[in-house]
Amino acid sequence: MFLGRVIGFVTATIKIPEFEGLKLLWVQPICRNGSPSGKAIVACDATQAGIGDRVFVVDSREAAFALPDHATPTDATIAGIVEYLEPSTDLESAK
Amino acid sequence: MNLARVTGTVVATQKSEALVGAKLLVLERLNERLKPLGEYTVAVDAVGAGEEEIVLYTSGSSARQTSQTKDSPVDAVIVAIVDSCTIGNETVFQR
Repeated sequence: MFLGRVIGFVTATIKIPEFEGLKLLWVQPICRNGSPSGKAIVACDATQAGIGDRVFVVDSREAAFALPDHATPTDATIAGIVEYLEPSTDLESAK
Repeated sequence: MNLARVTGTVVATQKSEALVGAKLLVLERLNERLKPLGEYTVAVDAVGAGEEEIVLYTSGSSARQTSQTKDSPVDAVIVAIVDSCTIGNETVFQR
């Protein structure tokens, strides 16, 4: 999994049936201190995350196991919303 | 998933048996602001995407989780035609 910050979303009406009802959120991968690291990707959301939330994302085939349908053709799913890290870091200031 | 623009079609009569009947499109990956990233992918089209359309595609083993790509030698499949793309509160793309 990797740490990320939700920075936006995508809408699509024409899509595969398995994506019906799934929110598609832009996630910017971040380092432990909150600074961006790598290219943003689009992830399915399983946690009702919103823009600005720090999250962690499960990717590749395992991404489907964070969704009710384990055969969903997703390669990235938000698996959790980060409340805080221990020991706390300057990630707190990057809220 | 990654964002991409459809930039062409692959025509190949001599190919893996398992790919017969699959529509193969050439995708140019885009970042969250629709800037090209210089990465190209050949993906199976599962949603009827056309030339120049902005799409989302799934990569890796997850790409085999659609009815069209089941048990096929496919690691990239188009899963949606994008209607809109929003970063923060700015709509950066509207179909």
